[in-house]
Amino acid sequence: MQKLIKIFNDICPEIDLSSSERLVDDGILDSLDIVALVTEINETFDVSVPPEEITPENFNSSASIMALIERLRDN
Amino acid sequence: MSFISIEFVAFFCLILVAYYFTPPRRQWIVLLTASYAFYLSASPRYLIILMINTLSAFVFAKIIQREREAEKDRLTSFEGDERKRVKAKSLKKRQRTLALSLSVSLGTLATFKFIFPILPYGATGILFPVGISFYTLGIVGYLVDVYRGRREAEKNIFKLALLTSYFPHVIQGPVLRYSELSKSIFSGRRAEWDNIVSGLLRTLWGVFKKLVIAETLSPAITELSKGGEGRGGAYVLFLLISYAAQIYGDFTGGIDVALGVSEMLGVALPENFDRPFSSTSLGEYWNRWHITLGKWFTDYVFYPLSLCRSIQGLTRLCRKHLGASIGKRLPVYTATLVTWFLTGLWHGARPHFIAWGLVNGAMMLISQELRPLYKRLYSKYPRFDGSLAWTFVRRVRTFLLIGAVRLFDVYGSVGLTFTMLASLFYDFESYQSFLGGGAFELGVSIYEYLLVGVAIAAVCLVSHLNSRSEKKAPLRKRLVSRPTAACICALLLLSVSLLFGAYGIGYDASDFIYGQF
Repeated sequence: MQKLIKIFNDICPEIDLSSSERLVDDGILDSLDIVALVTEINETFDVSVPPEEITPENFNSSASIMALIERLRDN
Repeated sequence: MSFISIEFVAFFCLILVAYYFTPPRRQWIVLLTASYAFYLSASPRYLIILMINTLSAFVFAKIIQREREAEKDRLTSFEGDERKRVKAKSLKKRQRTLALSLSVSLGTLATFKFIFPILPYGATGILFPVGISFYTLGIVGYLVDVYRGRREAEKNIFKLALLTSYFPHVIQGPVLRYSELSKSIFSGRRAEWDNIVSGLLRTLWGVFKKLVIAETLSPAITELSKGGEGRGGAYVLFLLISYAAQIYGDFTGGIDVALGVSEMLGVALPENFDRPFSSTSLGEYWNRWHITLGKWFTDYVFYPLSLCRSIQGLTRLCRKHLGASIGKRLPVYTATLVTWFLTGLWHGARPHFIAWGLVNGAMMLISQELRPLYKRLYSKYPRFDGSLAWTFVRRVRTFLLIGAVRLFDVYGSVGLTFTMLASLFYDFESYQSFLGGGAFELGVSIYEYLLVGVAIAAVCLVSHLNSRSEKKAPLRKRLVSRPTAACICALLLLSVSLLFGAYGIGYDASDFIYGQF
């Protein structure tokens, strides 16, 4: 989770991760942010996030993003 | 047959009665018949194109699904490397089928949009099939969703035919996701007072915006869009503002009619606009304007492109040789510009549409790059952030930027657009001429401008009332529980549209701006 928080701080420093569980639904995270995040996530965690996994359910909070990463690693 | 015509009113009344008198399980057949009848009246020669596209999507989706199911059965017999090999082989097969299916749908669109117009003699007699840009996106989304396993292939070709041809959306959208539409369009229902009244109010609201705002301004916009001498400077600014009003009235009005008609049938369609001119940034604007098109391009073009192996591989290469800063920007920049290029191309193959797309894409990237600067500004001057005055400045800035790029569409020429925009800063005589009453020499009288002003004020008021209570239902739904008020509103909207709306000789209220795409 620390690595993920660091990625967020580098790419979207103005976003307070703890402030919302609806980062995508509330428009806090837009599509440009998501692509930048996924690129860093792929590099840092050695996973490959496919486009169909980019859903509000998977990106609405740091916890859901971490869960996605764990699932992709297990697969 | 257009939405704003006596013929459509008669047609829809017939459909509504037939629909609710049909047993619920069979109601979707009434919608299918109505949709094909509507398409036949709008574009009789090209009904066959719609049918071929539908048949192609049906067959290819079934093949993709069958291969996925066969893969699941085969995998039970394998393990380890052999299992991976079988999976990879099956994936390749599904990819080839998807590619073939997309080439049929997109190829048909490309042929009518890009190839026929440039043939010798303009390929005389070949017109643009109504709705092809919208139903092609729906079909492509459907095929990709089946390929990704997000939905099952439709088992009944007639049900798929309804999804592709559903008449409220076929003229100018919204862009539909068949997975979402399937949830409501096939389930039968009884006539509900709430849906019929709310839908009727929305339809009349759309007609009001189209006839009173959009059509009233059209003579002035037609005159100013010619550009040239005496139409620069202040007139460009006036065109920017009045075209924003016209396209808002026309496009949102048309969508209100589409959604309102569908609501009367009990079928919910996705919202396509959400107070776009209240946006304080470009990113926010494109989340509020033509929402369904933006989401479609994001899900089916932007994300797949930015996350594809080639781009991610190039990203790693750039990161290694040019640094992390360039590396992380590469997929975003590339995918953004390609997506906006394709969005412009979807509107048309002409240079001004492509310029419109690329300029919008570039502005989005510049906006993204300026975010750290704004962050520093707000941390140094915290009172700025969220203040009423600064929010107003941001809204005006966003409005003017979007309006300036929209002029590519109005002038229809890249060169002319830049020339006219430049004149804002040097054609000072035009400001004098405009202030001397130049606006009243464009085919629109002072009374008509006042009428448009009052209509826009009414739209702003309704929008404000709806936004103040976002947890409650929209205003029109709250009126449903007050039959007298609802009746008065409906009669008012109808009377104002008929008495003050612009139609008849010299106008073409049947044409919607987005119907041309």
